[in-house]
Amino acid sequence: MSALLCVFALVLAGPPAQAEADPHQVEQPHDAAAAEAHGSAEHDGEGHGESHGHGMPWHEQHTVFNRLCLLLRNTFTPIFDALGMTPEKAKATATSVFQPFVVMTWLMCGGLIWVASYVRRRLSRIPKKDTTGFVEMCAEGLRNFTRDAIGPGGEEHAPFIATLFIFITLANWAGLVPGLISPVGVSEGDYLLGLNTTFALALVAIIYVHYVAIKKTGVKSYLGHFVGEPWWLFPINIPIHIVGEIARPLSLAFRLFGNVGGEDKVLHFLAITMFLIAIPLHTPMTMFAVFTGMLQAYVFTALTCSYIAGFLEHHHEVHGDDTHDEPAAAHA
Amino acid sequence: MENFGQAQWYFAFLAIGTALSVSIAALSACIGQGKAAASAFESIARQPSASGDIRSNLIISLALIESIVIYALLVFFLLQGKLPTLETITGA
Repeated sequence: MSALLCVFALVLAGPPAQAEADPHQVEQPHDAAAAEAHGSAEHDGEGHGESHGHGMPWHEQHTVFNRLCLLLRNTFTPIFDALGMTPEKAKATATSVFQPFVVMTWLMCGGLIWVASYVRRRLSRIPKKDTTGFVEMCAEGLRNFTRDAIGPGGEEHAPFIATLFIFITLANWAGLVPGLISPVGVSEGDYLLGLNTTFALALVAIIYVHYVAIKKTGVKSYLGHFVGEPWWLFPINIPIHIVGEIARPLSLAFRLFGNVGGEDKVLHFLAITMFLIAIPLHTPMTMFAVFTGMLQAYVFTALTCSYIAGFLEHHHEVHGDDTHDEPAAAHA
Repeated sequence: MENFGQAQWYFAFLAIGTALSVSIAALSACIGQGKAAASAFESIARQPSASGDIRSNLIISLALIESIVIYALLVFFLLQGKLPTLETITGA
């Protein structure tokens, strides 16, 4: 189930807004040259940033990872062509499908599936001398976290929540590795590409929340959640609840992108400023980014858990069930 | 300064607004987060056994407060894309 949803997320993350050739990008080399000529510290940094290719389309930048993506693009362009597209459309499709952050997402997904299947094959009651212990520790910790966040019986959602947590954590950390990019926080000039990934993740999470709400509490109770407590207030309650439900995936996506993308921008800026300032600031900032990357994954999953708990708890209240003592974490 | 026309005024105020948007949001959210963290620590000190619940709720509420700043950051990114370069302004 969660693997299917994960694949669904990746499919959603697929074709992002294609970067049109706009005047800013055409002007880029001229700007960089002019900034170098000016020679002030501020413009110097900016010029370096542009020459690193922040405004360029990805297939004109030459890092090692981009060359891999370029190879994939050139391999698949004739295949798309053979599928009946026009040559221009085939090239545009391949350029947008094999963007670095999409390839990065697929690579991470493949690595995670490989690790999971490897550990699954090696599971045994008597532990072997092997490295599966770390994965078992993570799985147990995530299951306990899910139960604490949702309440008793919440560990049945642990596969989905743990998948989200591990994926988002690794996606955030990928931006800290030189040469790789973070699928969550990447932005190319004015195009906030990372929003594609975060919106896909948030949509999957919110669809799962509603699926669980309908499955666990029934359609009647689910609709009763929207109608609200005194039923005759429904003309006010229903629009409020619907707007609230729409705001949830939006806030999840924007929060994740903004935090991770902002952190990456700060690190990028510190890396391209003057050497003496950059080193003492950049190193602790990178260590802090390791912490915040995990924290953002925690926040995303904890909010998803509290949405699930909100629906389930409402169900308990309606039916006069007072055995639970879990406070609702948040109603966002 | 003699050719400081309407467009230049527009871009000047756009630059000021771009800078102010995220800084005002950060200022106010810092006050809010400080209050939340202070009362969470007080309650942990009063009842250390409840520290796990309080900590997770604290992190979630800090994230909710912080999301407002993130919206401001997105607005900052959008506005920053509209700012022209120095060469465009001076007409060089």
